[in-house]
Amino acid sequence: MKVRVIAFGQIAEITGGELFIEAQDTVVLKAALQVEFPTLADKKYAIAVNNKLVTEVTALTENDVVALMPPYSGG
Amino acid sequence: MGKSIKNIFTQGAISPAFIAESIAKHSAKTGIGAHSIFLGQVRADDVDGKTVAAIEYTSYQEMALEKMHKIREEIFNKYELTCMHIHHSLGSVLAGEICLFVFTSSKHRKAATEACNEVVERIKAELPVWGKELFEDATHQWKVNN
Repeated sequence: MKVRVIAFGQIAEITGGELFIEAQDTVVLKAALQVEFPTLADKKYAIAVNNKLVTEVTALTENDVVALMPPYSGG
Repeated sequence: MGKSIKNIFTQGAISPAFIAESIAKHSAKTGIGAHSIFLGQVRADDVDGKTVAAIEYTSYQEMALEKMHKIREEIFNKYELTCMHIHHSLGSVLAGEICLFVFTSSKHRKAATEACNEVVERIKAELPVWGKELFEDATHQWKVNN
């Protein structure tokens, strides 16, 4: 499955704006990202799939949008 | 039936004139007996001898607005509010300027003040918004919410 990966805040400084990655679930995706961007390993970030936060392994389908989000700091 | 999703984001600082106007607009709603207002202001923090000159805000807007919509519905279910208005800056806001404006109104004060506090806390904890603290020497660090 090719998914679109977007990133925010400090994570966007590492990954850049937008990526397209092949992965069947979020765990595989995280591993692939870590290979491409080794500095991600010690960064804290949450994952949202199609605007919904996911905390467990989540299956991905073609064209899903996966967001990498460091801790929020609005307000 | 749920209300439509409102945009809370404003480019740049929220002006005191806009805030004054928002207050004035409520004079027609004579059932209101109390307003509660929270204003977030960009603080010129000192970090290792460098001073924060501005905060640059970015957001995952689609998700933030969906989340804000949900928070809004929950707050209206929990408190007896007449109305609630929320404005959050995006882009660059200078130290001393306003970056968050939360405005709740109710018949009696308790609902307005409690709802206002809860909304501010939830915005900081739950909205996908990030603040980049820009120093005067053009370096930066990422804001951390306490």
